[in-house]
Order: sequence, then C-alpha cells, then structure tokens
Amino acid sequence: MNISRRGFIASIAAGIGGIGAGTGYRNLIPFVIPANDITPGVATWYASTCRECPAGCGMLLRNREAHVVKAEGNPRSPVCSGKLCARGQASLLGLYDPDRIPWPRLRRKPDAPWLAVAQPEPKNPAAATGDGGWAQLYPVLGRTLAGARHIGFISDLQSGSMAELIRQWLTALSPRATADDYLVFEPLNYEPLRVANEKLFGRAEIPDYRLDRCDFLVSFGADFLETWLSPVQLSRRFTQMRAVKDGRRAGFIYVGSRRSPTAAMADKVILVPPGQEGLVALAMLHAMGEQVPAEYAPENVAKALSLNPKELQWLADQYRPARSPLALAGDPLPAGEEANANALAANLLNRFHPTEAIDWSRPHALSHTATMAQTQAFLNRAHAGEYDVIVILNANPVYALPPELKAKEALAKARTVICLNTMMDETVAAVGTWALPINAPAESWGDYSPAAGIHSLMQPAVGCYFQSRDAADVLLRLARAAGVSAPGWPAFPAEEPEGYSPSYEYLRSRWRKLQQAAGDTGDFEAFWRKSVQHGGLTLPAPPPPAALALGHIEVPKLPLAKPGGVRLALTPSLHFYDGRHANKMWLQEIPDPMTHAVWGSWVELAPQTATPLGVRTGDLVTVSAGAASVELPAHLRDDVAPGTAAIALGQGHNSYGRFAEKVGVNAFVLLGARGAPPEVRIARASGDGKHVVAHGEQDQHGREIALTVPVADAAHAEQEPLNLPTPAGYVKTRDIYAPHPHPLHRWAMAVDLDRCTGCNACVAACYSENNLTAVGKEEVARRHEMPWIRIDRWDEGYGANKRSIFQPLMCQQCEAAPCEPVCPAYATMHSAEGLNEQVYNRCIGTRYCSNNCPYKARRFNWFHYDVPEPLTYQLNPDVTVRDRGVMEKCTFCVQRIKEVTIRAKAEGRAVKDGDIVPACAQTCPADAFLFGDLNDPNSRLSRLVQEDRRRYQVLRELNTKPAVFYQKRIV
Amino acid sequence: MAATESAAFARINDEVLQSLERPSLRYWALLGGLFSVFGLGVLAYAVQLMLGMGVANINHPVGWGVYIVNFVFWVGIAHSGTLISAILYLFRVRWRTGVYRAAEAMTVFAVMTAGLFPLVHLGRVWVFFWITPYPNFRHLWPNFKSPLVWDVVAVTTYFTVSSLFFYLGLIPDIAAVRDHATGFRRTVYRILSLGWQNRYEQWRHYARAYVGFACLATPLVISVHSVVSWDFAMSILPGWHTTIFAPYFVAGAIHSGLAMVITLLIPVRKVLKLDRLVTMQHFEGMAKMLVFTGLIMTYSYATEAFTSWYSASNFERAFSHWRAFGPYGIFFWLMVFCNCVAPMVFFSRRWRRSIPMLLIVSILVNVGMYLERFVLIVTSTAHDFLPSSWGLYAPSLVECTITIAAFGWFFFLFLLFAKHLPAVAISEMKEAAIQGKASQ
Repeated sequence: MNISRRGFIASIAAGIGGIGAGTGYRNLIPFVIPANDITPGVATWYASTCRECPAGCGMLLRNREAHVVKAEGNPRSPVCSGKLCARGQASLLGLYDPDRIPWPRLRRKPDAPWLAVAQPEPKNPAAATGDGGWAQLYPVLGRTLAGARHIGFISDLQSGSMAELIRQWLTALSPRATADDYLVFEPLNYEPLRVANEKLFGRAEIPDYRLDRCDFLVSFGADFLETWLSPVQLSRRFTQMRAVKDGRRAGFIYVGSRRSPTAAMADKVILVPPGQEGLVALAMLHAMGEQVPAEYAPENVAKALSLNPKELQWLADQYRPARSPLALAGDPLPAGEEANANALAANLLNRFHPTEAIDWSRPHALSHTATMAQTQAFLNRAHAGEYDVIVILNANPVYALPPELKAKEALAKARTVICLNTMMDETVAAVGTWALPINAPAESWGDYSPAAGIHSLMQPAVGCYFQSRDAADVLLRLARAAGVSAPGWPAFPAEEPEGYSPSYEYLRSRWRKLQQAAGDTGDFEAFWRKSVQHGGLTLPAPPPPAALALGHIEVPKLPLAKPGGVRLALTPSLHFYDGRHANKMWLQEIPDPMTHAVWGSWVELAPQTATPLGVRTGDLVTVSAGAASVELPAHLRDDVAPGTAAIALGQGHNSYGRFAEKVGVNAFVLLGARGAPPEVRIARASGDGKHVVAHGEQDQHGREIALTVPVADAAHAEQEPLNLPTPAGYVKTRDIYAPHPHPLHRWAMAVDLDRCTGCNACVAACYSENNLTAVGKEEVARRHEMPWIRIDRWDEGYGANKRSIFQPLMCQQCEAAPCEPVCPAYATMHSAEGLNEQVYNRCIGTRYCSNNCPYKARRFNWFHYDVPEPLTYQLNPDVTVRDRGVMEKCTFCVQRIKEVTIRAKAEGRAVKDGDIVPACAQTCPADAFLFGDLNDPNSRLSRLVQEDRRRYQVLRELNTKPAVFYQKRIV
Repeated sequence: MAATESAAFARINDEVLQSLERPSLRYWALLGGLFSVFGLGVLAYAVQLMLGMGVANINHPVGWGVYIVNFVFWVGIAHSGTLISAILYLFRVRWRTGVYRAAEAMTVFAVMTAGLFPLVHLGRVWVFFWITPYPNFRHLWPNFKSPLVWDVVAVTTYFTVSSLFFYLGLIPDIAAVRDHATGFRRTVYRILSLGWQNRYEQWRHYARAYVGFACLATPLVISVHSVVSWDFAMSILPGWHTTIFAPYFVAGAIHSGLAMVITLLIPVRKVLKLDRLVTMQHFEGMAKMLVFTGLIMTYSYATEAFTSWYSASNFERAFSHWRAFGPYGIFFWLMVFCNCVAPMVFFSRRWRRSIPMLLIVSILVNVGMYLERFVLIVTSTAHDFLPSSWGLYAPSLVECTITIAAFGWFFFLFLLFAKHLPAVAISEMKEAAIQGKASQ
C-alpha cells in the first residue's frame, strides 16, 4: 500500500485524536496538565469531512495547542484526494466566526429582542451564564414538543446518520408526520438536471460524472471547476481528462451565457443568452443526424443566436466521432420549465451518444434534496397553519427562496420555530423563537455520505468556544425531554458521565451496520478506530443499473426566437456558493477570478447591452424583475452574451454576521416561484456603485508573461532559455554579485499554467497557513490588499477564441533578487537554501524592496490589523503575525520546509522529494504546483526543469533568476 | 580715500544691520502663521504615527509617494546654496556676493526640511537608526549595497559641511552685528561670533578655512544629488534605471535651487530694503544660469526619451509613452513647459531685468521641478513590468498636509534667519566694494 508521509502522520494523529476526543473535549487551553494527544509545538491532525457544500470532501484538521489552525483535504477521501477548494480552506472562519450564536436564545415574538435562556446577568439580559441555559431549555422545549400536533422539519442537505436520525425523530415526535414533512432544503438542488435524467434515463438522480473517462466534453453552463456538484473532484478528473497524449487531448467546449473560470479553461466558448444553451445541443443533435425537428437545424439555431452555423456543425463533427463524449447540463437552480427544457436538450446528447463518463452506480446525495414543488407544498402547509412547531436545522429558506413564496410569513405561522444553527441567519432572525447554537462540523461527531457508498466521518477536532452542542445531541435530548424514544436510539445512563454524547453512541450504532455492509466481521472497535483514522469508509460501488431501452424520447420545445429584452443569468458564487460563506472575510477579499471585484455584488453586462443605457463599469444600476429589484454596480465584460445580466448569488445578507451584512445584494429575490424571470429591466441608478476591482490590467501588452504552446508541440517544442537560480546560472559577464552557494538545498517551484483553473483555493490556503489579513473593501480600493499569492488573469484573442490564462503569482524567490541589495537594513536576505527571506523584526519599512520587485509580490503592513476573537484562534502558531510598518511576502511556506528538514535531520536521513508541500501546492485541486529541490538532480522538479518543453521563467530577461518556473498553457 | 572707504563700509553696515532691527508685529504674525502650518504637519504626522502608513495613499504598487518627492525636491533646493557660495566663489563669479548668504541659509534649511522626509516615510520610524552604521552587540551593519545607505551618508555629509560653511562665513558678520547690538542680543551674538576680533591672523585663518571649505563643498554639490539619483537609477524599474540620472539630477537640482533663490530673494530684498546691495546684476547672473540649466534639463529629457526608444525594450518604450500620454501626461507636459520652455524667456535681457518676470519664471521652475520629481517617482512604480500590478496614486490629506507643512517649516526658518542674521554678507560686500573700486 502506498502511504505518503503526510497521510501517515495524519492517520497516526487522527488515530490518537479519535481516541482522545471522545471525552472531555470541551476543554480549551490553557492546559496546566496537557491532554495526552497534545504536545506543545506538535500538530495533531484529525480526519473530518468538509460540510461547506454538498460535495463532502474529506478533510484533515490541523490542531495546534487545542486550536484548529488549518484545514486540508484528506488524501484518502475518494471525493477530494487530499485537495480542498477555497471554500473548504476558509471553513475555519466559519468555525471561529465571531458572529456565531454564542448561547441558546429565545424571544417571545418574532420582533421582540433575543434573550439568553440562562439566568440573565443583571446588567446584560442578552448574555448567558453557566452552561448557557441548555439544562433549563430541554424541559421547556420538551413540553412544547410533546404537546405539538404536527411538527415540520427543514434542514440543509444531510445524509448518513443525521438524515436517518431526523426522520426517526420526526416520526417519533410527530406521529402524523410523513416524509413530506421533512424538507431537505438546498437552494441549488440541480432540479433541471434531475428532471432531465428522470425523463431520459428513468432516474431522477445526479450520476457520477467521470470526466477522466471522457474524451470530448461540452458544458452547457455547468461551472464544474467552481461550484457545480463536486468541484474538487471534477477539477481533478478534468486535469486527467486534459492530459496530452500523442500530441492530442480531449476537447472541451463551453456553451453558456458568460465566460466563467470554467469556461476560461475551454478550447472554445460559445456565448448564448441564458435559457438558450439547449438550442446549441439540439442543433448538434440535428447535425449528428438524430431525430430532432428540422427547425433546430444548425443554420436556424445559428441565425436565432447570431452564431456561425459552421461553428455548430464543427461542434457536432467533434462530438460524433468521440468514443466517450459527455454533455453537462448546467443550471443548478430550480429555475423552472425553461431550465428543465435546456437541461433535457443537453442531456439528449448523453442519451443518444454512448458514453462511459456517466456512472449511475454512485448517485450524488444532492439527488435527494427537495424539489421546488415539494418546497412550495411544505410552505403551503406551513402557511395553512398545519405545523405548530417547525424545526430548522442550518437551512436558510428565508434568504434563498423567491420572495413570492412568502417563506417568512409561512414559517412564522408556527407557534414555535426552533432554529438549530451556528449563525443568526435571515431565517433565524425572521422566524425563530428559539435560536439554539449547534456545533460547527469541526466540533461535532457525525457522518456524511456525498454519494452512494462513500461514508465520510466527522469528529471533534477542537473544543467548543461557544456554548454550542452537537445538533444530533440536541435532537436526542429534546426527544428524551418530550418523553419519546425510537428503536435504535441510545439509552441515557442514569448518571451521565461528563461530556456524554448520545449522538456519538447513535453514530456508532449506525456504523456497526456499515461494518456489516463492508463485510468486516472483526472487532467493531478496531473497525471504528480505523474508520475515524481514515476519515470514513468507501464501500465498493454496486454494479451500475442496467441501461434503459431507448424508448420514445421527448425533444424539448425551445423557442427559436432571440429574446427581446435582457435575460437574467444567476450563478452560484465561486466564493459564497449559495450565500452560506458570506461571513468569511478571506472569501470576501479574494478577488473574483473573472472580474477581480471584491466585497460586493455586481451585474456583468456585455458592452453592447450596457453602452446604450449609458452604463459603464462601476455605475450603479437597478436590475428589476416584476416587483423585485436590486441595485448594484455594473461590470462590463465582453465575455457575457449580449442581452444577459449575470449576477452571482450569495451576497446581500441582512442578518448573517459583520462581514456579510450590507455587502452586495441578494439576487435570489429576482427569482420567481416558477423560476427565472423571462426578462429583467436594467436602468441606470443614481449614486456610486462602490465597485472595487483589485487588479490592474489583464492584457499582456506583448510582454510574454504567460506563454502558450500548441497542443501538437507541447511534448517537443524547443525549450525556452533559463537563467537558473543556482550557481550554474552565474555568468561572469552578466552578473554583478558572486553566486549564492546552496550547499544543501535550493528550493524551487513549478506552476503549470495549463492546469490552473483560477479557482482561488491556493490563495485561500495561503491566507489560512500564513496568517494573512483581510483589510476590507475600502482598503482594497486603495490597493492595500495583502495576499502573498495572487492569480493574475491574462486575456488574449477575441470572440469564441478568446483565451484567459490564469497565472498564480507569488514571490519568485529570485536568485538575483532585486529586493535584496536595496534594503538598507538587511531585512531581506538570501538564505542558504535559496529562499529570499524577509526578516520582519529587522524591517524598517522603506518599501524600496517592493518598488524594486518586478513581480510586485511583496505586501506592506499599512496598518495594524486585528481580527475579533475567536478568529485569532485560527492563527498558525508557526508563522509570525506581522505588525504594521513591515514588509511581508511569500516564504515558500518556510515553516513547512523547516518542519520536514528538521525531522529528517533528527532521523538522520535525507529529505525525500515530495515531503515538503507548501500550502498552495497542497490544496490545488488541479495539482498545478510542484515544489522541490533543484540541488537534487533526481527530484521531479529538477527533471522538469531539465526536460520539460513548456517551462520558462517570467521576466527572465531581467536576470532576476526566478526560482518559480511556469509551464506554458497548452492551446 | 580712507574716509570714503570707511563711509562706504559704514553704509554697507547700516544697510545690512537696519534689517536686523526690532521686528514688527507683522513679522511675528507671519512667523507664528508659518509655525502653525508646520504644527499642522506635526499633527498629521502624529496621526500617521498612531494609525500607520495606511493614512497615506501610497499603495501597492506605488510604494513611494509625495514624501519621497518632497525629499528629492528639498535636497534639490539645497543645491544652489553651496553651488553659489562654493563653486562660484572658487570661480570668482562677482554676482555671487550679494546673494550667497541667503542661498546658503536656504541650503541649510532645505536640507533640514529634506532630512525629515525619509523619516516621515519610514514604516517603522522608531528604528530608523538601523540604517546607520553604529556599534551594536549583534554586529549588524547596514547594507552598504543599498543606495538608501549611501543616501544617508551623502545627505548627512552635505548637511554637516554646508552648515559649517554657512556658519564660518557668518562669523565676521555676526561680530559686526554684535558690535551694534545691546543687552541680551549682544551676549548671544558675542557667543556666536566665537571671539572674532577682526584681527589680521584671524582673517588669515578665516580666508584659509573658507577656501578649504569651498574646496570640500564643491564635490559635495555634485555628489549629494548624484547619490540621491542613485536611489532610483540603481533600481530595475523602467524610467528609473538609467545612467543619465546623476548628471540629470544635479542639473535639475541646480535648476530648482537657483529658481528658489530668486523666489526668496525678491521679497527679502524688498522687505529688508537691500536693493542697493542685491542688484539687478545679481539677478541677471542667476537668470543666465537658469537658461543654462534649463537647456541641460531639455537635453536630459530628450536623452531619456531617446534612450528608451533606442533600447528597443518593450518595457522602456511602453513606459515612456505612458509617462507622456497616460493619466499623468498632463503633469509631464506641464513639467516640460515649466522647466524647459519658461526659462528660455531669459534669453532676452529685458526679461532678465524684470522683477515680475523673474518671480513668475522662478516660481514656474519650482513648480516644474516639483512635478518632475512627482512624475519621475510615481509613474515608474505605478506602471512597471506586469500590467496586472499597475495602479495609480494621488496623495491623501495627511500627505498633503505634511507636504505643505514642509514649506511652512522652511519659510519659518528662513524668516527667522532673515531677521536675526545678516542676510547679505557684510564683509564680502566690503571686500567687493574695494575690489570694485580697485578694478575701476
């Protein structure tokens, strides 16, 4: 078995953690006598599951001195294979969110002030004492529940034991309850895709898309490298799919209303107005000779969409001979009939053309979320007063449902609304009578099953900062207080040991069944320990169900007319998904890859759409649909289909926390009960849009910064010359200073521009690892932002052949670093291992180094930046927190380098290639980074520098001898 | 003969010393006003010190803003004082006599102003001394590769020598003031005159020392601004990294220094009623110098443009174009007008002898030279190699306040000087009077 060093440490640590965390985990530091699994200065890793979105990536949580300081992907996870996206990296900001509900609260009426349940302090009735009032609230709520006629339950997507528990709980407490009384509410429920699959394949499910088995991919608006379904998994598979073999590689065409980061990775982008993507699919089918009405011939479709008919014909010609092509139908929103028709049209391609890239054996958990009709039915019942108690776990329907559905009014009809949540979101604020704080996933026991057969575990990796409890514990204790139980539920011992968790027992009982399912007949404790160590269990995939016979296939009716007005394209936000991450300052501050806008919402408009209205980038515009309207700044892009208004979801919270509130607008309000509005009106509004764009220009101005190579030449193109960052790169006639000797190591990195998808995971990982600070909108507007790694985007070409190259740019650790000689105080120095080191304590703040850095990779501390408690708990103790007045920059994660080299030295062995992984490289879902030692001629990096035909150095002609090598984008 | 000579001496004495009589209320009000302006700057700096550099609009990519512009500007102003007093002294340029004292005072005060800005600019001013070589336990030295260290050495040397030179020249004159002063002022001047008795051997030592200082100061005039220019020329940025910078900066410094001398002398001469001592002849000499330095500036600008074109470097060419036609283009062309075109009016003898024209052109040159530093420093950082990091810069309220306060501080010092020390060199005027007679 192949175990990586990191995986090994993680497993060991997780094992110790798994044993240790069962009891007494409510202790925070300081430890007078430290717990067994905590050694000061040594990290403990706990395997867990990322619950930031339904993808359910396996996660390792790095605990230092009883604080979780870093989240990384679990290499054993079949979903993420050790990688995380930006949202996963930022999950710790949710754990340490200063605006979490601190203790149980209640209020008499929806508009009354919240009170602490516990005996209020005389001076502050909102503050709790003791255990926060949990002991007091159980009997009260138990009576309420026992007396309830009918209970409704809403949660976000839960699977595994929590989903089972909720169903049992609801049945036990509310005998009248049916399956419909439990609403699994996900705003992005992929309903169009499920409807299409039901019609075409007889399964209202979302299959596993094996892009790695695909040789021609067409995405109809599916942003699978950002948020769609399981982006980390799909990014990895996409990278595999795009590998070059014999001068060729699988093609990827994007059909959609805007060039998203995913579209930027495509060979060709066909821009069509939202809701008309399906026409392209129908035209392809027609061109491929399938049974499609003649009105959808490529010429007709091309005319209707102002496209080139040859382009559509070409697309069909590419698709037809492919061995295993795949079409992805995009819209994840329950956007109504039109979206369903589009998804159906796109999926017809999959139905007609055989493909190996669709795996029905592992349907995704998202297949089991409520449809819009089910949500409406639930709300209608609530509105009719059927439920006298509603329990809401995590879900935020008041924010994410169209206002037309009157979710707030419906839910408020219930006498008691018990909200189990970490945050005071819009739903809690609007309808809650009880706000019960639950543990964040990193504080809880639990499991989650993102797809059939994949069972991922969560364990407490840290003690609770707030007076919160495991949601499952709360449910079980409420049931007990109400005097009901269900078969299989754990008994409560008469004398509860400290930290007793009934849900832990419940979880284990469920995993006993999984042990049987896995065919393991051994000791349960050993099985359990191993599962906790590994972060879960993957059962072999059941054989795929037999394919349906091709019966009558309905071809959707899509209007061929070009829509008159402006149509709305609502997209999940790369950083905020459906809005649940809006209170995370890193995600607010990291620029959007395509606009570089920060801290806000904006509407993307094509210049053809905006210019007649007199709207320029940054102007405030009103976008209205029916009675609903939002006011937000415009951002002009020729990457948006004319007649399209594209808005990202997720902002505009009026209750969520300090970083989310009053930022941007909530675009969900533009949705109607029947889906996306047919047309929106756009008008220039008065006032300043306060639109902040963080970067300079995206045109290379012929400077050869990001290079490309044709796919046919990728393997044997002539190599670019290098100015090597080693003594070998010293040329007496060219260099002023003597070469730096590197007796042991010369660290360097390679970045593959062909793999980078601009997803910002590396940036978020760097914020997390290196204690970077978010400075806020006003300061970003003044160009005072402080990332150590940024993703530059370079645009080339026009129209369908326009290309965007994402270029992660961090300190290049130059051998002849321009920053070094100019510092008067020797605050920036060349280390013996080739690193360009910044000595914060020695820095006097002349900023000359930054001026002289041609890559502008250095960042200055303009102010002293503080984060509110407990966000400080996330700070990595291995990295200095910088004070104002000093310069800082990327260190190649020197703390990680040192950790490995010191251990290797202690063990008397050489550092192995691949042992050291900087945070950015660690998390990159596309594996675009490679870190290594140039002194080791056999390291993968040395070999790449020697042999790769695509590697080059940015601004090599300046003779800075950068130690970061870029690999050209393949086109 | 002796009688007329002593009468002439007495006239020079009277004319200079009458300027030192008890100042009017207006003087004190002006002095107080200027000090308040300086005080505002201190307040603004206190804000910056308390909150951080972020109150200034310097940013990423423009790491150096008006603080460094001010530094270079004031160092430039500091130039012509020593040029006039030392170089022109060695070359025996006659029009120097009437103006050199004021020019020297200006030099010392301008360096005192300039010296504040690197401190104001530092992110952690409380450890500014780490830039100096001082003995310490850690055996840490400053980085002598860094032009900023050279800068510290050059500017402090320049300040030391020019203030000593200034003081040396003042000694006989302070003695003259002492002889006319009474009471407390007499005591002060007696101490400052270092026991000057007008004795022969004192004069002999004085003359030796003066020539010695002049010889010492002359290379400094060239060196200090050359070194300041290397702050930029030693970097790798397009627009900074050029070999022409040292002579270009020195010429520019003299250009601005001369203009500042003219700007200062015109009101001083009028207010202190020195028009018989500081004559049109002096102004004409300086105006001719302005034409000369203006032509050097024109040549430098042209050379810069030419080298950037001739380099065939994409970065250099694109940058030069952007500097002239980008968002800061208006400043560039204003700079060209003020520094190159405006001084050319002094080809005409009539304009050289016109006080209003002298004042207008000298102020224009000052504005132009300030703009030159702004254009030079800000545009290069704003628009360097990677278009993704391009940005813009405009000073913040704090930066503007501190910039204006520097003018308050400079004029405050100069006003103090004008009323308390002889603004025209008495002894040299007397010498000139004799030599003038002898040559007639």
